[in-house]
Amino acid sequence: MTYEHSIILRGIRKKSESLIIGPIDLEIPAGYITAIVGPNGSGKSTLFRMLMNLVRPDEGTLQVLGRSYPEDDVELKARIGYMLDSSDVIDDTMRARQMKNFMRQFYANWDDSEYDRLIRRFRIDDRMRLRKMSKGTQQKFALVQVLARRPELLLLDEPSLGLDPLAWRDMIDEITHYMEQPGHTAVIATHIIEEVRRLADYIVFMYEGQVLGMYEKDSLLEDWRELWIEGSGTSLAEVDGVCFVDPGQPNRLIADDYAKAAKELKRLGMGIYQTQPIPLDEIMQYMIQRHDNQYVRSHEVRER
Amino acid sequence: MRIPIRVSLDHPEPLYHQIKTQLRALIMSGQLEQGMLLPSIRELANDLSCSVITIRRVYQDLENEGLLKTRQGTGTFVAHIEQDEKEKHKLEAVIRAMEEAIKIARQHQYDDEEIQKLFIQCLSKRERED
Repeated sequence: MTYEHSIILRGIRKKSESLIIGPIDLEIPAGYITAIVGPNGSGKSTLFRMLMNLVRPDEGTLQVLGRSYPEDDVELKARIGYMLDSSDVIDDTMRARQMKNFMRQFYANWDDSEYDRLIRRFRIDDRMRLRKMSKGTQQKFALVQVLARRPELLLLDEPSLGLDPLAWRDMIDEITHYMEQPGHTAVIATHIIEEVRRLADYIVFMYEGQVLGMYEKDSLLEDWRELWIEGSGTSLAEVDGVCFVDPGQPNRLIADDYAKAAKELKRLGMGIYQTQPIPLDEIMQYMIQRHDNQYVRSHEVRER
Repeated sequence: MRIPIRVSLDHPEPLYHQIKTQLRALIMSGQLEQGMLLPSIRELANDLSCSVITIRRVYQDLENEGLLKTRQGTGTFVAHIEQDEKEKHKLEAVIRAMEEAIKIARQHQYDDEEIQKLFIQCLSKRERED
């Protein structure tokens, strides 16, 4: 491994009918699991398709595993494990095993014993025709195929769609197992908060084609707090580290930098008598709200 | 492999600190024996729902304290710790807890004589319960 970042995006823009993406600047570190979260239509899947050269950006540069498109297209497709949506399957009248035999010839690192182990683990009967499989089994089979290639970079777009709770746990374990290999990197787009909690090292928030930020998971969860404060007088919204105020007796504050906010409130002589962690999905909601407020504010300024 | 560590974001201490303190106590008390292979950084991160960045920091710090040993390619093990080190750690843990109790008693304006009386009361109450 000769690269520190598996993925580097600089000034990436892409305009489509429904969405304007970017400009995106993003660096995804090698050796970690990065979760990409955001509401539907925020550009996560388009971003993945750009990483596979299935969609070309209008502007900007993109580097994956130290290589770039279009010149390294074939090499990169062999080194990246991009899990296709089951609706992308070429011919669903094929039996799963036929599909495997077809796919394996394109991948130099293909590992038959790993394939067999995973087929057993996920309880897949690979003599079945793909179209006869349930949505969940198709999803499991797609994951098995991607892992058996032993890719350096795993790109999973909503991997748990249709999985039952047992298969979901197996998937979490297998992604963990995949990451034991030094230099392996995984990027997972997901709506499932529990998946982010269990797997992610870093979290990227996307919204309306923009990256709202990238955070180390534990510091993010420690920095965002809900605080309850007695008293008033000072403009609480102006306090460093506080991003939302819900006035009342007591006041409820949302801090995005708890350490800073606590210090500042202490200096102002205001006692915090209750603090609480904020779940990830609520943090996302606040980030979006903050982004929307800033957007409105910048437009008001322009109109004046 | 799982080890009995519990963390909570409700706790005022950062996750990193919670994990380090508990892991150190498990080693010093002998619950994790010398030579025992610990879970990989990724496994423990998954178990505790935290990032590998946090776990790596904990393992590195405890290795610097001489409590853990890492062998390239095999993993992280519990190191050999001298008996008097363990004794010292036990003693320190008890002293810390007592100091904390004294601090709270003083905050509530109890004087030394009263604190001593309270301590003896607690001891004999404990004896009756045992």
